[in-house]
Amino acid sequence: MLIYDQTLLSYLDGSLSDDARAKVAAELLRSPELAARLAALRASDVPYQQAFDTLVAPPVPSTLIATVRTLERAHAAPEVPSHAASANDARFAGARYRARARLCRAGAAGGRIRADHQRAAVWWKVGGFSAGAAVFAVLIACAGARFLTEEPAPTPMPVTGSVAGEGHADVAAVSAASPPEERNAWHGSYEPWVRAFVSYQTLYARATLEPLDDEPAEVIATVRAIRLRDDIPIAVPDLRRAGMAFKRLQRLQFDGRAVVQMAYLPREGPPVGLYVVKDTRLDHGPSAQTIPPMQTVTWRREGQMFALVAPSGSVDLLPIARALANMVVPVLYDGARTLPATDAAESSFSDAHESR
Amino acid sequence: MMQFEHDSGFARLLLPMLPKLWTFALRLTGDRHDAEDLVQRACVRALERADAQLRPDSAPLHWVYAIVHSLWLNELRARNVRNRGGVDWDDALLENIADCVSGLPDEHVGHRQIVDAVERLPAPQRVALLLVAVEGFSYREAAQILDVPIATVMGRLCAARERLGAQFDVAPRRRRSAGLGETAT
Repeated sequence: MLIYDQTLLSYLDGSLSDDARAKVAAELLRSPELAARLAALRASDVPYQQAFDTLVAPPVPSTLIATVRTLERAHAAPEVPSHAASANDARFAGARYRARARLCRAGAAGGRIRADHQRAAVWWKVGGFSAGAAVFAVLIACAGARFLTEEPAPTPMPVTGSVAGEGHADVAAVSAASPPEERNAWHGSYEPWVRAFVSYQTLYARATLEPLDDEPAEVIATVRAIRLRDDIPIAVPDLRRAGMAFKRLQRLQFDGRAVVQMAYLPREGPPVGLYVVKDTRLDHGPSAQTIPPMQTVTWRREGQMFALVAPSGSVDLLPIARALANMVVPVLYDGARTLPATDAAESSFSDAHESR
Repeated sequence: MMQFEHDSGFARLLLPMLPKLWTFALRLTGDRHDAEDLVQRACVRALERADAQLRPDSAPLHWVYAIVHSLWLNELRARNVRNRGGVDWDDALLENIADCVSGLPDEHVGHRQIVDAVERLPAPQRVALLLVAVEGFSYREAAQILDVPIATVMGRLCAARERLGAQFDVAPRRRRSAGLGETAT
């Protein structure tokens, strides 16, 4: 009887059915050759992962982080006002010139990067930050028609990318015409959302956020833009009392609606994400749910749905969620203030903002 | 399953993925300059192709791993490498590897020995082993990343492990299930 590699591995993994397992066991008794192969396979069962984990893993090179951040900015919908974007462009043009030249040399379509950069800038000027979401609302309205076309529509909601090239003027017109309520209003269960947050948060490791510095000017600009364009009265809570440092605010899009992600780093262990979307239904208090590998706590308050997400067993989220839901947490940024407290003022900072 | 929109969402996935991509590229290439170059090119290509190729039901991380792997294959072909076997590791990457697992040299295969042996495997076997035993992907996920049938992945893995087992089988070991999750019978 011929035992395939696949069967032999499954035998070792213990994933064979009892029947198949018995057959392999019988064959092992008959065939010394097979027994020798199995012995070799058993002998190869060593801790590969631990061995490779002990390799000195040099940290992600800062040049690589900078390049990817630039790529990210170039490809994502703009999230900062144009003056900040041009500042970044300038920084990019100077400090990152060498890396980009290298990218071009590597045949990596440097021209494409620049073209996308320009497209992003144009988008900002004509349609602003909500252009993507606005296009979405229109597409949802005619989703029925779209499903009749030949084009594959893998999700019920087509992605903005597929219409991005259709013309900036239209985008601008649509954006101006649609009120914020229409853009971000949504109904139904938010479990798919929380699942999406979980899958996004899974990608975050401590090493992702550690090298990032909280950039106040950028955060304030993004907070203002979100409050103005998405009509989400976002505020970045100061969770230092819970031992967590604020690292980054991102405006994501999910199914065409704005999702705000605030990333925090505890003193040790994996990062914690606070996600906010617009949801004008009735308020409700914090409710915990486990969506492996993450624990989540969701609540609704003042037209926003909040979700705290962290790997199960890492941080006790519920007390933090209760404090946030009860609004007893100081605010780091709410768009209205100019700059957060500097290090020197940090000690008095929490108390000064306690009023919120 | 719903995903963050590829248009802006995918670009935002790259930074969070970076540590994993970096480690994988290092393990694949054994050289930090090659690894940096490889990850850069993979990110650019992923962004170019995300709209067209990234299916809503596929995991973005696996998809980018597949890009990293295919770019590296092309690179190896272009270089026409003579040592088709393994890679030459930077000494700097190896210097801190502990010589043994638990301070009991007679009982366990040393970390250094494991890494060295894996690096000497023929490339297809090495990559299959890296994906499944080191990166922790399932056979199915590894097959998707390598763009081959599952049976091929398991065949390569089996060949790799038989080869490694022949080298490691020098001392009795007590922690049988540490590496690949074999369940006792």
